[in-house]
Amino acid sequence: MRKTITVKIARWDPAAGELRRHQVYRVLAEGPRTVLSLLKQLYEEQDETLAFRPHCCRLGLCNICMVKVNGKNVRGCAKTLNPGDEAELSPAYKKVIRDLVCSLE
Amino acid sequence: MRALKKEMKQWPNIRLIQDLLVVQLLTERGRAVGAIALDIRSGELKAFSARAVVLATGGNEELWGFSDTGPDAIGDGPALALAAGAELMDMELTLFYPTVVLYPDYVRGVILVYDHFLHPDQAAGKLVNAQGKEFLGERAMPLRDELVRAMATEISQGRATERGGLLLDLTRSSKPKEEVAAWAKKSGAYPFLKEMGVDLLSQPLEVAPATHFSLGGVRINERAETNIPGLYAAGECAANLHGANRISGNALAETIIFGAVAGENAIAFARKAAPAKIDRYQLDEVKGRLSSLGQKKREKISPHRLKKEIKKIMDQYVGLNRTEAGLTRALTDIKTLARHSLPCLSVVGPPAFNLSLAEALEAELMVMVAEVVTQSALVRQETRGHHFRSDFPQPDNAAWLKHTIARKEGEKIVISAAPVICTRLPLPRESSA
Repeated sequence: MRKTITVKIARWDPAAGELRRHQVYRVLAEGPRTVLSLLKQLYEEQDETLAFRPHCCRLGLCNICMVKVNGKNVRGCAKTLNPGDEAELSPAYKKVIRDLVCSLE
Repeated sequence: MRALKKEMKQWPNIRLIQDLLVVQLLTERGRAVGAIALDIRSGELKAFSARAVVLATGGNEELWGFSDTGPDAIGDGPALALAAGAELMDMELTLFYPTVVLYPDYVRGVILVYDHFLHPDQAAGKLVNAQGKEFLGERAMPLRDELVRAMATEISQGRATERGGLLLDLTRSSKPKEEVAAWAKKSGAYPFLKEMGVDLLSQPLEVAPATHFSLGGVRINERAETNIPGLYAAGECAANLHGANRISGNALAETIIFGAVAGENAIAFARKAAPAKIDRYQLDEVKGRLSSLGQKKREKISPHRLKKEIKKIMDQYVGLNRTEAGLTRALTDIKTLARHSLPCLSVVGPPAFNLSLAEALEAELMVMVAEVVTQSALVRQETRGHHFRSDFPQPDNAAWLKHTIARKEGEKIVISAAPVICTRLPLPRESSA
């Protein structure tokens, strides 16, 4: 059965002098979804201004998609959310470029 | 990567700049003298002057909808080189990997090293079609391209799952469970899938062939030189090494060997080359393109949607079953995208790390590469390696023991043929099929 996955995403554009805020997005899902694929879907279907790192090595090795989910750093490609889940997404590291994107250095 | 990073620390004069998308090479009187790039972090253009340029951008697997590569494998290196006047080679030759996870969705694109799982001397799993039939039969393990073709036949003849996949089933192995498990665990995919809650040992997985490696690319010689002075290419974005197929493991060796070769020769060139100034005219031209992406338009197309259009065309007509009619149709569709959709590309949002801006610039490069791939596939009227022409199902050694070469003449892409240089092993006889 299709159920909603709700994600609350930290939005922040330091270059534009913005304050941090949160935005809530909802996606209907039938089965488990990776955080990375959810972000991609949100960007394509709901909000093209959402910033995240879309890279995926497909084996959970590169760590480029690292993101904080409910306060814990996880690989976006390996962390799944289930229909009905609610989660809070924020940047994995301190040096934020925009939204969920951090400097890789 | 660890070794490379460690070595780079010994050289304080090496500056690593991340999150750049090169959109155009700078040239001066036919010589490569730098690059213009989008600094994705700031959304600004940056120009770099250089006495020599080495392209190492990887493949173009993302022209298709199902790949086992990352989203940046868009063929930017060949596109940039072509636009700067370099020759591309064998762009029609894309290696498909047979067993890539198609479903479940959340592990889509994970590569399963097929011999570990299927070889009778290894895990001895079975490939099964949607009707439950082991379609490889009792024959010995086919070669990779033969396996891809056998799978493509099952899929095109309607014996695949509703998602277009076939089943890789380890539970059908005749080997003892412990032995099957030992082989499965040799694959990097096994622990990752296990972590994701997918146990290959107890459940069949839907797999299908996916684009895996670009055999074609920028034409280089044994010194990694292109036909443009000061421009070098190495690794997957380069061509003239593997031919129409590739031996497993050679891609990794290629990166190490040709990375070093390109580096050494680029240094030697740079030592003798005069410094070049950044041509403001070329920079202004790219700036103009960039600002037009943010302008208000009557008809708008999102960059990710345009990318999907490219993938749809390539999947339908330039995949595992190529014909003259299909490729001609694809070429028309790609040219329509170039003429009508590219000018409608529209970007929204702030400049910092704007994915749609990066994707718009990527889409421009992808359309260019898609056209070259399709045109080269149309010219090669034979089946060889991973290039399957159902209207020409056999290799044609008399006519096509050759490379295809693509270059730009004005706005047109012209394809010609060049002889294959083989110094150690004899080529198949031209008269034999």
